[in-house]
Amino acid sequence: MSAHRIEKRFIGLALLVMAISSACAVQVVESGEDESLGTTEEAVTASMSRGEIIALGASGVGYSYWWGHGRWDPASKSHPGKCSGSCGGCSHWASPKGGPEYGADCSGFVAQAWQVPGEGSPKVDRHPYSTYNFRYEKTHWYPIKKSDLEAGDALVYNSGKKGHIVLFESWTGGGKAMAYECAGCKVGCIHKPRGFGSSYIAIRRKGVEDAAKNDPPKGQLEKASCDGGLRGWAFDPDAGKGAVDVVLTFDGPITSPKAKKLTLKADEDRTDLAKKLGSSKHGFTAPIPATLKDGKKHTLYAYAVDDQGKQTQLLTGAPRSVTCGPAPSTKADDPPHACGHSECQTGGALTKDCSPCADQVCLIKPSCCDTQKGKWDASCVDLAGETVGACRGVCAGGPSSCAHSECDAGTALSASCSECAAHVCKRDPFCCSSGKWDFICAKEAKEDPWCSCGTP
Amino acid sequence: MPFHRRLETWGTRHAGAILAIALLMGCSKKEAAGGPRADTPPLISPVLEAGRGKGDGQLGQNIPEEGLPEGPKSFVVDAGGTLHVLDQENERIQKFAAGKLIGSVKIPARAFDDIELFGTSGYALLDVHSPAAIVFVGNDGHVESELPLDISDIPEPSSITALVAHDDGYWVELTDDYLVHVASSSGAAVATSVVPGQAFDGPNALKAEQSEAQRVALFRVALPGGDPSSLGEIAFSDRVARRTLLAGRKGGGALLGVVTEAQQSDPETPPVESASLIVIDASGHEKHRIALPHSTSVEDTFRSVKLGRDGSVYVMKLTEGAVSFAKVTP
Repeated sequence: MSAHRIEKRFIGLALLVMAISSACAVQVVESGEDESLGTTEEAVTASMSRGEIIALGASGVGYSYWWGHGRWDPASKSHPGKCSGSCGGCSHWASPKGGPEYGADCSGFVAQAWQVPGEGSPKVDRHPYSTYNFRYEKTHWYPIKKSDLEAGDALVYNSGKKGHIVLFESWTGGGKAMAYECAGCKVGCIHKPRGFGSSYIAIRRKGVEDAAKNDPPKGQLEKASCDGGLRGWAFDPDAGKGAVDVVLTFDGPITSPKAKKLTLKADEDRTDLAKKLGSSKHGFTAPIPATLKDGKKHTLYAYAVDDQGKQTQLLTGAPRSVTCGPAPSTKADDPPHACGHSECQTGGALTKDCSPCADQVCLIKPSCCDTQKGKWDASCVDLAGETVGACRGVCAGGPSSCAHSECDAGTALSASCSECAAHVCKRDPFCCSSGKWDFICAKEAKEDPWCSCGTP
Repeated sequence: MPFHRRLETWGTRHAGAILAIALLMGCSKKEAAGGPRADTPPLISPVLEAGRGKGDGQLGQNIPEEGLPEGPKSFVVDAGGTLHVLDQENERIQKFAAGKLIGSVKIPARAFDDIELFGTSGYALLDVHSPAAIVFVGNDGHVESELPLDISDIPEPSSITALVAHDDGYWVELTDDYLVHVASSSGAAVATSVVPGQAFDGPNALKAEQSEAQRVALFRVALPGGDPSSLGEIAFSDRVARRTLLAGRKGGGALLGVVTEAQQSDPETPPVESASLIVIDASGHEKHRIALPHSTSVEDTFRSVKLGRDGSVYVMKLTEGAVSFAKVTP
């Protein structure tokens, strides 16, 4: 950095010296490799998408804080490095020993995530800018209003003595922001919500397309009961009268890989919404999936999806814990249930003659019917949940007159043959109209909470 | 009589004390715009001012070369009014009573974010970093148990925004939005349940969410599993930057901490922030709006406003050189 690049007339030399000496204000260009880093004299900034910025920032999470540096391996976190002490008197070393030394401080991290001043591998160490540069210069970035922040923008402060910069991802419900940052020796590079003091300003990398203003969707989960099912509304101000999708997830939020997900359209006519939203077709209803009616506590999350499919917003009134009793068997031809409890619930051992399904399960695992020493444990329930033989449909969502299991490929099924088939065909009409229930239909059934195919 | 007039009258009688508080806390007497009339003047009193550092009675660190100065992340106040400060940077909890240090407890060297009381004299410490956990320690700091936060309802522990102690154990708040029950009062894992709110009020949960840039909407949810009912909205003259729903109050009201920011037309000029405590009555109407001391230091605290077990609200304020606490009796 040279003095002639400082455009602010009234920033004194002392401030400059302090900025250079601060932790995130250290300019280190320490490549050791031939890769060109570009030059700060050039104001040409390559285009980069917000997704690319966030992905690069996310790849740095878990690395150590390395004062005055910026390098990490986006493909592997096998050498996160180690920092101890208090920076600038802190120590940093490669960890595990013998491998490359990776880590970053706050400004090194953002420079790499933004790929400024030029494109380069994050594995190559560079620290071209300090927080002072990010705060007061406009070479490859420019200030924006905090209210205009979008994923991939940054928040920076520099007081002359100190500075910090983080990569903004999104606002949380409470006004904090989910951010990526190399926050210090003790915590390293992290991703978590944080607040911002008033000293922070927002900046945007040049070459990132300014997205049109996109208001978040909103809505409410008004009812969630075992008998009445789910009822609510969802609306996106950007979509106007257009209906938006609602995503329901069970036993985990939308980010949980274990959660089962289901998408509905919030397009039911609700005259009571017209006054509040300006149009009325934003309601949704759905039954509680039968697979959740097992007497156990389940969590239910509901999200509105914005019209561009990019943002999801947890509905007011969600998440909710629900505990619903076992789904009654509604097969008209079912014999009266003689078992002490449902085959779909754990409990005391059943007798093998109480139902054909119990008979089948106990043939495979006799302890499920050993009333002296055994019990009907989770493994017995799992066996009963299998959609083969006598147990087929017993623990599924409801009556089934389907020609074959929805969980297996075969001939096309009728949407009216089961609740599961109805849901699959609503999402994917091909399955009920093409003459073939193909492997994709079977896969969709395995992922659908209204179906009971066991673990996909 | 309008709130600010009463405050001025009260201030004239207590000019010395007001001046001392203002000097000590740097608190603004400016009432947030749109504030209601108050029945009685709120009482804000300083509790502690500590210097930064590692010495006894000091808190946090302030190393000029550090990328981030690190003050205490959080604190908790017990029923007797003793202040327990999570001085995680110095790996200890310091206890203060009547403005004086009365004890220090060494804790594990982890980047803890939040603290609650555990048992009769121990602590529950939240660490949202990998591996995320609640660590339960005794009154001498020894680890009694550790509860890993690897449950499907919390796929990203880093998005936890608070540790909340309740009659039935410990809950964590996710993304400033909702609560997940994770531990019993003894620190044992429990079957997960969730509540669509951020605080409890007897048999109800309360939820505050930003409905518009300058409005916060309040909801009440009867537990367990009730449906949300609107309590109304609180309006602000500036954009709501952050909000913390502290707790329900007897009779159905709530306490809401809010930081607003007045945006400047020039984006290079940082917005001007101010903090306030909103006292809300049982019908959702704003009863008092109290200007709170507000940090001027840039570091991020996990929780800077908390409801003490003695019923008062406590505020932590960080400046470049000091960490101070004030007590608000709404």
